Amino acid sequence: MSAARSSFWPGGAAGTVLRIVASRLVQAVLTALVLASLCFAFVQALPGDAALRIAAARSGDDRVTAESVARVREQEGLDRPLLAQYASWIGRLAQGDLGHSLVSRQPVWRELAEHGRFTLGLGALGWLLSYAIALPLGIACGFRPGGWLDRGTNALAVALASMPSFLVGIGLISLFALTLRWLPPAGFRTGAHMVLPALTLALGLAAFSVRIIRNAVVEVRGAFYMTFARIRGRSAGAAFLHHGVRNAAIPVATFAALQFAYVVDGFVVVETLFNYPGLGDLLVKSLLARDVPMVMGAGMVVGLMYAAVNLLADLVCIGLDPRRLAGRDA
Amino acid sequence: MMSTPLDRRALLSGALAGAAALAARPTIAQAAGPAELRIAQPWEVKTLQLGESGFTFTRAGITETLVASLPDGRIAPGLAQSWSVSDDGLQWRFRLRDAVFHDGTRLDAAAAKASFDRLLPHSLYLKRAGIAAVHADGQDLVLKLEKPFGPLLSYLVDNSAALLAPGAFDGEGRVRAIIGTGPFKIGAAELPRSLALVRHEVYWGEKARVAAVRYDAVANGDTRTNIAVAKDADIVFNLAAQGVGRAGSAGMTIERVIIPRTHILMLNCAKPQFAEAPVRRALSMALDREGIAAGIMRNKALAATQYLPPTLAEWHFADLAPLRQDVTAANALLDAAGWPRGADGIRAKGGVRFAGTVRTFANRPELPVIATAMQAQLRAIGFDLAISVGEAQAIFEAQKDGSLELGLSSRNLVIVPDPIGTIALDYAADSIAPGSTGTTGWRHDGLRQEVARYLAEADDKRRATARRAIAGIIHEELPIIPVTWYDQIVAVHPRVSGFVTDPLEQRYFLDRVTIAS
Repeated sequence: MSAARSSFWPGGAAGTVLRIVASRLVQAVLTALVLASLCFAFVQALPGDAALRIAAARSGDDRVTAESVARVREQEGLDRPLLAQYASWIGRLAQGDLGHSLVSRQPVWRELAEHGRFTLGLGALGWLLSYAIALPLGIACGFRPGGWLDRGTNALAVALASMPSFLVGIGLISLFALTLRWLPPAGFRTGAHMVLPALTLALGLAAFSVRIIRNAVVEVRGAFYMTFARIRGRSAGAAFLHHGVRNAAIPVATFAALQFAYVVDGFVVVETLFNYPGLGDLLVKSLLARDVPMVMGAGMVVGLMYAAVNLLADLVCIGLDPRRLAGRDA
Repeated sequence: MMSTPLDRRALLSGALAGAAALAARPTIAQAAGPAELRIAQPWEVKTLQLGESGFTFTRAGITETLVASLPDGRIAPGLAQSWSVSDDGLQWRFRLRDAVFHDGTRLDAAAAKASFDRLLPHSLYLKRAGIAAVHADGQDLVLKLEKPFGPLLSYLVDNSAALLAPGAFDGEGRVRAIIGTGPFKIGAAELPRSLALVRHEVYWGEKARVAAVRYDAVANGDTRTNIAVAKDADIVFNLAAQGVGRAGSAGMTIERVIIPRTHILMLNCAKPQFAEAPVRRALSMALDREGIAAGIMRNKALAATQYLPPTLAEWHFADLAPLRQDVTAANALLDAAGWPRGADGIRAKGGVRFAGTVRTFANRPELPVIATAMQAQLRAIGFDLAISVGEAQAIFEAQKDGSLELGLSSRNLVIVPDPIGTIALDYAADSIAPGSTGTTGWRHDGLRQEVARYLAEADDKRRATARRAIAGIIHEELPIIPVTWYDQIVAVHPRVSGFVTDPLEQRYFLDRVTIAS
C-alpha cells in the first residue's frame, strides 16, 4: 500500500483531487438550490394562510389581529404570485442575500449562523462521542466474534437502534439530571448542557456504527493479506494494526458520512427535548410558521452540509486507499 | 502508514478529553450566582415589537404602562401617579411620575406622547378605545377620546402600548431596543430564548430585591417539568398538571391559581344542528365537565359552571344556574326540539344528521384529549362527534369560510384586565378576528346593545347592570359552550420568597422576589 500511495499522491494526484472537489462543489450548490426550491414548493403547498401563521408566530395565537395579518401580507409581499415570490428570492440569492426571517425579521444568514453554531458544536461532539464508544467496542467485538461481548453489544445496539431518540433522551434525563442530579436537564449555556443531548445523539449513532466497525474488522481479519501477514510471523494484533486498520476504516468512513443524515434527523428531536437552540429547532418552528425564507435557507445549509460531509468522506477514503483515484483520473 | 491510525487516536483522545472537560463544567444552578433569579416560562420573544411581544416585557418588569392592574383586578397607578376625567368623559388627564427610562433619560409628557404616537396605531386593544388625540401638557399627558369610553383605564394596561424612551425607536418608528421604565432592564438578549435582566437602579418605586434575572423561554412543557424537578430554575411558569406531583416531590413549592382563560366548545350557529338555543343547551348538558376537569386537567375546580371564571369577580355571577351534566334533561330537550334518534342512535331532523367535526389543535396537549372525552359524552345524547386535530389557525380559517362545525379552543379573556375587550370582539363584532376564537354564525342585538352601553358608560352601578346582562345572555344562549377554566401552575424553588401569582397574568412581580443566599 505504501507503493500505491507514493505512485498516486504526488504529481497529478493533487490535480485530480482538486477536480473532484471542484466538481462536487458545483454539484453541491446545484443540489442545495434544488433543495431550497423544493422547500419553497412544499411550504407553499401546505394548506392555510401563510400570513395568518406568520402573524401568529410573531405574537401568539391570542394576539393575532386582522390588521397584523394584513400588515404581514402586505409588508412581506405574500399577496404576490408565487412565481414572483420565488423569482424575488432567486434574485436576492444571486446577490448573496438569503433574505430575512418573516417572523423575527432578522437576516436569514444571521439566524442560520446563530443556530448553526449550536448544532455544529452538538453534532461534532455527538459524532465524536459515538466513535469514542463504537470504535473500541466494535474492534473488540470484531476480534472475538460470537463472544459474550459481541453478543451483549449486539443486543444493546439492537435495543438502542430500535428506540426513538426522544426515548433515549428521556432515559438519560431521568438518570443523570433528575435522579443523580449530575447534569442539567435542558439548556444551552454551559458545556454541561451539551453532555446529555450529545450523548443522546451518540448512543443512536453508535448503535449502528459499532456493528459496521465490528463487521469490517471481522471481514478484514479473514482477508487473505491478513493470513499472509500471520504466515510471515506477525502477531494477530500487529497484523491488524499494520494491514487491517486502513482497510477496515474505508467502509466505516463511508458509513460515518451516511450517519450525518441520522444526526440531522436526531437534532430535531433532541433540540426540542433539551431546549437547545439549534438548526433542527429552527427548522421545525420555521415550518410551522410558514417562514419560507428561513425554511429555504435552512434547506440550503443542510444540503451543503450533506455535500461537504460526503466530500470529506470521499477524500478520507481516497486518502485511505489512493487506488480509488485511478478510475477517476482516467 | 502509521500516521492515519495515530492521528485518529489523537483525535479520539482529544474528543474524550473535551467531552470530559465539558461535563466537568458547572450546571446553571452552580454557575448562577445567588443573586440571579432564574425564570423558565413558555413564551419565546420572537420580535422586539410591543404589539407582538409586549406581554413578555411587561410581565418581566421591563416595561410599564400608564396604569397597572393588581392581582385582584383593581386598577392602580402606574407611570401615571394620578388621573382625572372631564365631565363629558372625553378628556383624560394623567399626571406622570418622576420616572427615568433605562437609558437615563427622564419620562416627561413629551416622551410619553412620542411613545403613544408610535405605538398606539399598532396596539392590540387600546386603539379600540377611540383615542382621537394625545397631547403633552407640562407633566400631564392628555388623551382626548372620540366618544366616552368607560373601560379606558383597563385598556391602558394594554402592554402593546407601554411607554418607551425616544431612543427605543428607529427612524421609521419601529422599536429597535426595549428601553422602558420598569424595575428591570435588559442587560443582554439572546432572542428568542433568553433575556438577561439587571436591576434598574433608579427605578421610581421600590427597587427590585434581586440584582439580576435570567428569563428563559422553554416552549416544551415536559422540558419545563424536568427543569422544575431538577430545580434548575427558581420559578417555572405554566407547569403541566401532570408534572405537579414530581415537582412537588422534588421540593418545589407549587402555586395554582385559576386564571381568566376558558377552554371552549365553539359552535357554528349557522349550521342547522346548532341554530337553536335549546339544542346548544342540550349539548352543554351532555358534557361531564367535572370529569374532564378532574381527569384531564387534574383539578376538579376547573369545571366551568359559566363562561367567566370566579377570578373575574365582577364578571362571575353566583345567581347564574351552574352548567352541569344532565343527560336525561338533555335528551328531553332534544326530543322536544324534534331531533329523534335514528337506528344507529344518532339523532336527525329534516334530513340533517345531529353530527359534526370538531377542529382542535395539539399546542395545548389537553385539547385533543378533551375532544375524545366529549366524543363519548355527546354520543349519549345522540350526537356523532368526529375529531380533527390540526393547527390552531385552521379553526379561524374554517370560521371565516363557513365550513366550521365545531371548534375546541382556549380563550384568554383578559388581554386587558376587563374582559369586555374580548367579549366585544368575540360576541359583538361584525367580523371574526383571527385571534378571537369567538362566536360563529351568531348575532344577538340585545347583547350588542349591552356591550355598547358598557363601553360608553362611566358610572360603576350602570356598568355592573350591563355586566350582568351580558353574562346572562352568554349563559342562556350558549353560542360558545364553556368546558373548563384553566389554572396557572407555578413551581417555585424553596430559596425564593415573596413570589406573588397574578391571576390576570399581566405582571410576574419579580421585583418583589428575594432569594436566600
